[in-house]
Amino acid sequence: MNFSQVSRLGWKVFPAILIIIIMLALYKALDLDHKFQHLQEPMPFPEFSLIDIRDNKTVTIEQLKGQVYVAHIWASWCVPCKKEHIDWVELKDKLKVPLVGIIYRDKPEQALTLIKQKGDPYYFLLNDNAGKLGLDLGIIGTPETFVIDKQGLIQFHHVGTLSLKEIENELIPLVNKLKDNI
Amino acid sequence: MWQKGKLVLAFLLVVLFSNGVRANFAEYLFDDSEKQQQYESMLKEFRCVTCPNQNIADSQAPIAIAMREEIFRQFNEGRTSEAISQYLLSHYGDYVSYRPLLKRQNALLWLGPGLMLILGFYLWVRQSAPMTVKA
Repeated sequence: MNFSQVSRLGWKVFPAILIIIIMLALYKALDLDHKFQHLQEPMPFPEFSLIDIRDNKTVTIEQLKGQVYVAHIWASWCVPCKKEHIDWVELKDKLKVPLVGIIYRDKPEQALTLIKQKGDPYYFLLNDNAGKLGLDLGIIGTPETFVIDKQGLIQFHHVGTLSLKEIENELIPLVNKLKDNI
Repeated sequence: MWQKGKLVLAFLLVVLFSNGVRANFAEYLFDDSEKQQQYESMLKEFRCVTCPNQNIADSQAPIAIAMREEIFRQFNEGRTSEAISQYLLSHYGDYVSYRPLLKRQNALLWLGPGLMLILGFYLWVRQSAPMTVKA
């Protein structure tokens, strides 16, 4: 095959190759795994100073430093959050670290009604009324769950609801592993 | 004819008035008109992360409302557009901007339409070229 023939062949297959490359790149871009994103560059959990809606006391990140905890952002206006809440209550005793609830742009009285009716699994239940902490965390909606290590770094981030099985079989083992790391 | 006219008129009225979503500029007003313009521009430049087909100005998602408030607060604190943009980009990534900077990760996004145009032109030229019939 001479150069001219190779060149003609090249021009024939060029469109197909280009389309394949673009399709592969687009396919790769679809691969967004929101489940338990193990963050490649863990970022620190943002500083905050928020009110616990149960006793109106101010809570800051200082009170959580040095320990592993789970931060769960939800809202009483969020239907999937209310369903997931039942699972958090059920697994309250199995999760051996603080579960910090953060209500997002919510009415505290409605959140209080929910926990009175369905149970309260939270170590702190903080009011992010302005949504500032949510923005600092880069949330895209509710619910979202974060696992924070002893150094205050977010090690895992889950977007969307977690099922009972996922909390029990994936989140709790991850938390225990972080707890055991010195 | 009049029936068709009525249909067209009805269609136009529906199109013009059914869009109840208005940009939420009136919620936050600055005394400084330049700042107001910068604020309104910024709301149109960033995507609602809950409703990605809308910008922050139009979306009623809680996150979009929070973003509008936060951008307003930061402008009031004297931060520049660039600093506020950087804040949003650092927390949400390039995806949140309708005009991300050209980077390796989004090169295909930027160059893709041009490449497709070249490909389309190439295919059109080949299609138009007279066929050589061998004797």
